[in-house]
Amino acid sequence: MNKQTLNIIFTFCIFAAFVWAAVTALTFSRLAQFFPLYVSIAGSVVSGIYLITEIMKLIKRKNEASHSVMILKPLIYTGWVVGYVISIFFFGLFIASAAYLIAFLLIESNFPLFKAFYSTGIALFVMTVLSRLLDIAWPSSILLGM
Amino acid sequence: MIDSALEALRIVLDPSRILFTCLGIGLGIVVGLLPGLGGTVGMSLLLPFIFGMDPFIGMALLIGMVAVVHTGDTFPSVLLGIPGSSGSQATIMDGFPLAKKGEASRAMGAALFCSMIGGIIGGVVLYLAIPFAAPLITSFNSPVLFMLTMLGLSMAGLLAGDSPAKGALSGLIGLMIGSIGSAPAITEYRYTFDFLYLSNGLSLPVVALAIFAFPILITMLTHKGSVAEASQLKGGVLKGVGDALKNKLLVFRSAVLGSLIGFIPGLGGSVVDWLAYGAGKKTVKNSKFGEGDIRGVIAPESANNAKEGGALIPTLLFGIPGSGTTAILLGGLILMGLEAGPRMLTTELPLTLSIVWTLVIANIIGAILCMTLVKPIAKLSLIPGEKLVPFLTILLLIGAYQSNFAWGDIIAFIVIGLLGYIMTVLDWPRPPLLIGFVLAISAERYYWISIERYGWEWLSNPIVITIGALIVILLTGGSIMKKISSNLQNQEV
Repeated sequence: MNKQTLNIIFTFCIFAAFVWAAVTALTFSRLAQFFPLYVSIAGSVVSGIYLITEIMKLIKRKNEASHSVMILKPLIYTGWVVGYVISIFFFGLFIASAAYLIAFLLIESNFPLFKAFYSTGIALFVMTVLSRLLDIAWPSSILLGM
Repeated sequence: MIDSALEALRIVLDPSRILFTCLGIGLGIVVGLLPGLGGTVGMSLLLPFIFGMDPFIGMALLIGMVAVVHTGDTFPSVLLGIPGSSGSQATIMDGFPLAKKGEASRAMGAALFCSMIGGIIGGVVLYLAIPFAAPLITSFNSPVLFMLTMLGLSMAGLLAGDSPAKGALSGLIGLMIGSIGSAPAITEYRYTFDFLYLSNGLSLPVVALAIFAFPILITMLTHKGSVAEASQLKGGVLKGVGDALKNKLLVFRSAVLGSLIGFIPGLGGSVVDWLAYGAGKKTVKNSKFGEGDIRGVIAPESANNAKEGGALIPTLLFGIPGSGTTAILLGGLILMGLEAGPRMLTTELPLTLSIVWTLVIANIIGAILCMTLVKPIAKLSLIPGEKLVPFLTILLLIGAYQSNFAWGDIIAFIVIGLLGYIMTVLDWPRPPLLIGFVLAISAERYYWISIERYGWEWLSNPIVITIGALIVILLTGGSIMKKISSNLQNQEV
């Protein structure tokens, strides 16, 4: 997608969020209201002005080429992170990390099978030792409760 | 007082106490190295062990750990562009671009050396401030604290880069995110969508990791490369040390600024590195801050270790903790049978002075230890992204989870991370967002107290006017100077 168009879409989203925040702030009591209201009004005004100038720039440079932005690849990699988080939710950190590491190293990093298992083993060992030593809490799973 | 200081040095150099200082240093470096963990986690870990301990040994352990967290956190900030803790966010701005150029060792050398010098200056400031601390701290009322918060926010303007509108919007987004949760003036929840997790607001480590680390993860994968775009590492640790020595005035200025900001309770140590970075950017000649200027590493790193010395003044002398770390330190004092307060300057003066020495010694040992680790750890920047990212993802998710031990931390990490990634792709500056977030609650709280207590009269306070003028100078001074110099150049031509 065109970078300039994406910037306009993003700015519009920010503008809409500020307007919504300002309207919502009106429902708060006086002492809770003033700060978010001031900030969201300022945000709405600045984002509104910026949005208009960006649209005008886009209209002026309609025929000029603009940088394109990658969409699919970042979505795939975000999908990996989201998938990993979902698997932690169901199976717990240890099992999910093992599965995630092996799958990622084999598919994305093109590791040979042995190296992928070997690296995963070391990572899980370091993770366990560090969390025991530093008493680091792990996200719990709803299925296994660990 | 000098006799007491020498006596305290003798106590600190006792081999058994040095051993505990080293234990604290070891833990501090590990905690700093791991993104998401900070001094608060380190303190919480040590607290159960110091119950009933000799106060000199207990403080050696605790202060040894606190002193070097901001030394260890330089590694992830420079090598991966991920803040190791909240005090090393500004180091990313130039440290990471230097690592990209293959100059990670140079950046690390400068950062570690400056951390050491900053820590020593922080210790000296703590020592010198002891007699003057009381009147100074009581002079900071809410209007002054509000204006200091505004001074911090003005740094967002300085970091906006080429687009002031994007910078201002980024700062406003940060302020808006910071207003999520309970209002400081009244028991009322805002923008929580009835999620219990959001009632306390989002925590700083989650937002900092999300806004800086998540985009790095995705970018490293999409660009299929290592952090260092060069295939070999250039410039060693000593070159970085040389850079720091060449900029000794910047080191000194930033360290003193760090100590003074740390000294102010409630302002939040998380903003100290940004203030030093912004001040450095405004004051150095031929600034290329943000593009891999070594001075952009020197300024924040000199300030963040120095801050610890300043932060200990209100904590020890008045029992006012300026951060989560110092709040736990107060608990530690109680566990050792002590109480923060004026007694720390009378009957407990040797202990207070031993803290000063421990701070200085821990900074020296910590920096030397880290310097020996630079060479092997700097090689991380040569590892291709697709091999490093899966391991980093696990580390970052666990790090984010440590903030509240809640699933909300992980969800917030991903949601804010996506916002950070879009901002990165569209060239929106992210540091203003973080500054806005850090200062949102302080800005609201101090503004509200100022208005409720003083009406509009607080605006006539001389300190408020001075800080206000300073903000205006900071924001407009650069462009006015540029206009004057270009006019002069035109006249000469």
